[in-house]
Amino acid sequence: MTDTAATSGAAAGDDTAAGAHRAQARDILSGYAGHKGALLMALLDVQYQLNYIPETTVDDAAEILGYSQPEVWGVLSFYSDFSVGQGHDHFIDVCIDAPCHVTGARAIERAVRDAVTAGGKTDVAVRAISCPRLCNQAPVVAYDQEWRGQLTPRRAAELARNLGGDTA
Amino acid sequence: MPSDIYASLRQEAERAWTEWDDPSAARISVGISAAALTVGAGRTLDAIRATVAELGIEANILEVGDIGFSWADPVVHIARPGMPRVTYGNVSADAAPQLARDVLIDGNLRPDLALGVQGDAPIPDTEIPLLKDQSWMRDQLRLVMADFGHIEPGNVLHYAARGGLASLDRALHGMSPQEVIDQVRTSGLRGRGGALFPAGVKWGFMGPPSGGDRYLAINGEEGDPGAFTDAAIVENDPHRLLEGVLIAAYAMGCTKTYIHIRAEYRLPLLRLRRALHELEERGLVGRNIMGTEFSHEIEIEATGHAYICGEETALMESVEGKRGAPRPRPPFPAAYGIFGRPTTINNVKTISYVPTVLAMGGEEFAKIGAESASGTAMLSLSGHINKPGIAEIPVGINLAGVIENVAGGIRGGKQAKALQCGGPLGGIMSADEMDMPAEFQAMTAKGSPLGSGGILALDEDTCIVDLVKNISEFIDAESCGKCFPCRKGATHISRLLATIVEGFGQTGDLNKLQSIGQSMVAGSLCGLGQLAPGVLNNAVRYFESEFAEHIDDKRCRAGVCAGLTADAPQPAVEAAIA
Ligand SMILES: Cc1cc2nc3c(=O)[nH]c(=O)nc-3n(C[C@H](O)[C@H](O)[C@H](O)COP(=O)(O)O)c2cc1C
Ligand code: SF4
Ligand code: FES
Repeated sequence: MTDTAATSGAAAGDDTAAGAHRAQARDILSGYAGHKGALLMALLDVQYQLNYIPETTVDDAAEILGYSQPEVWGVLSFYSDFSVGQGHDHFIDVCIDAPCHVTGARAIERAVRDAVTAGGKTDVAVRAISCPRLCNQAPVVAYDQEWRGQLTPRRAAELARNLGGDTA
Repeated sequence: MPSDIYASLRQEAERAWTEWDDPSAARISVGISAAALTVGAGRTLDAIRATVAELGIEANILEVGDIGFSWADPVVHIARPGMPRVTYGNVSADAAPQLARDVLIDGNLRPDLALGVQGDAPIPDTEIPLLKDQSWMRDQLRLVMADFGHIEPGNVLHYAARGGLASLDRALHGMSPQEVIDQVRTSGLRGRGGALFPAGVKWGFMGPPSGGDRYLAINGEEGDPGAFTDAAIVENDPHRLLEGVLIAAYAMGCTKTYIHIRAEYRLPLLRLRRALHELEERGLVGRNIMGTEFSHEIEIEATGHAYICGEETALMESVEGKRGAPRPRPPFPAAYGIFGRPTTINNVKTISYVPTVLAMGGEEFAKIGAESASGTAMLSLSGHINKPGIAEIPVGINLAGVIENVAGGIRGGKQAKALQCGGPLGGIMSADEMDMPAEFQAMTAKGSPLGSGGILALDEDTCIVDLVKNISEFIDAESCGKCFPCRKGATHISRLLATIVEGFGQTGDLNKLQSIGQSMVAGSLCGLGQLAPGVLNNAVRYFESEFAEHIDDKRCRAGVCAGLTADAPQPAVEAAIA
């Protein structure tokens, strides 16, 4: 994976979306250069600004922050905040842990996936994720990190169809 | 005797408080929390601001924390000039303008949306009951939650106006570190992170300072799905945690505190940072605090989402910037902790009780709650109940009563089937056992330890096997992989349960599950592997016949497991789609 990442275009001079994301990630990482033990914080910053971790970030973080690639992978694979891979314009996160599970998360996840598939949206990624501590409003779904609570499958599907448009 | 520094802070605070809570003005406050925002509280606040501006109403408007009534979010509190505040529930952005107009212009208190009148004095000529008399509040005792929903989170003046920082002042100016430890010991305060270790005893392990750094680490990981009170404290009253930190650090002679909290809790982090910044600006954190010899530094560690980092030795690894894999013990943290220095680790809730312990005195605090665990239990209520939310009860009141009143009973008029408590490493009990004290040890004996206070209530239509499978998948995903029996065992258990719910279970699977669980308990380094089979074992203890139906009859009585035949023609999950 890192092989292709290393050759998939340098940050500068690549005007694709991936190139732009890579440049942005490198910018964020550079802000942490020289700080001891900043690997986790720097990667979290990339994750929460871009909503994912570009594959190129493994090499970039290693280079900019002075770690080995396995060390970067070690952190990326350990914390479940990270979603390494392809960028999408939008992310829909469905919580699937027990309190959401028993209040209908499974049907919600299915409804969201169906809505995304039916709408032919390739720029939206659906992720099943672990509890964001909003169980008092279960079941919950986030559209681009903005959480909505007390959802029904119908409203979750609407949310997916309307690109986060408000349904509450 | 309050010190001069504190007295002048208090004066400033009271001025700031009356500026907001001016009895001669109209006052509107809106509860904003990460949870309330998911159902539109932010838009409600905007709508209220717009309406007040549009109608030219003279009113003070404030963003406050979350009063804990998640089931009624968005929650708005409104006081007419000269009158007590009334708390309103389910105030959507659409409903808010009319509500503000009705209450503040027409003098119609809108009993239809009112949850209750705050304080002790009823409003004459209305039918709106006092909030404290409502069924869901009657049994609560709010020590840590006292100011939730009343103050602006992170505003040190609001905190101090309501009595905050008085305990810190008393400790620094009137008590020796040993006296503080003695008070905490006398109070019987036990750790709320799950293991219930007496806090005063743990602090005593540190011994007198011998020069050099020693640390306090605050465990705000709160990894259990279904537990959200630590985040709630940080979000709704961050100064309470910080005051507790300073008192604890003074008692143990700690030079620095690391507060470990997940980066994903954005609003709690924002408010905690603001709160810390305010204390630093006022010289209440840093060098020579409140004019004394005591100096202390606090660092907020925003970390990643990894359940195992809640385990104390893993937390120390993560504070050091490494992967959070547990360390063997001994050496114990008090001897060899963060960066090899003496360290004490406490949960957010534990430390947040400390200002109250000093304010009341250890002996008085010890009278609250149960003999085995003094004080209150903060509850995270979720699942099939009418009133999910955050609550605080004296330890030891009747558990069935908690579910019926505080949690509002099972929704949809259904019967309770089980309570899953203490998170994925906790356990589960049949609802038939609920007529018992909500007390840590008693619930552990029933197989559903209260742990960090998460109660997931399950109704009669829940498939227990499916739930246990969900929890086992969580454990499998969160095992750090360091010990073979935990890593492999967790995977085996969740795979085997998946086979069973898909209809391919075989006779003997239950024994297999339990023996894998036994080897996890025997061969695991930390509590994750050791406690992992708790939910499974107790589910089998109370609901063995349901496992047998899945395995032998290929039948799921709840109609949840898709591959099996159902008793009811209409699966519960499908019904929810309609
Ligand atoms: C797997 C595992 C996860 C834990 N997670 C947490 C947690 O999220 N929060 C917490 O306060 N304690 C957690 N604990 C307990 C801590 O190890 C430790 O006992 C606690 O933070 C001590 O604080 P207290 O004495 O104030 O309760 C966990 C323990 C284990 C074994
Ligand atoms: S018991 Fe499990 S979680 Fe704990 S150290 Fe071992 S492998 Fe890691
Ligand atoms: S389980 Fe979904 S928010 Fe906690």
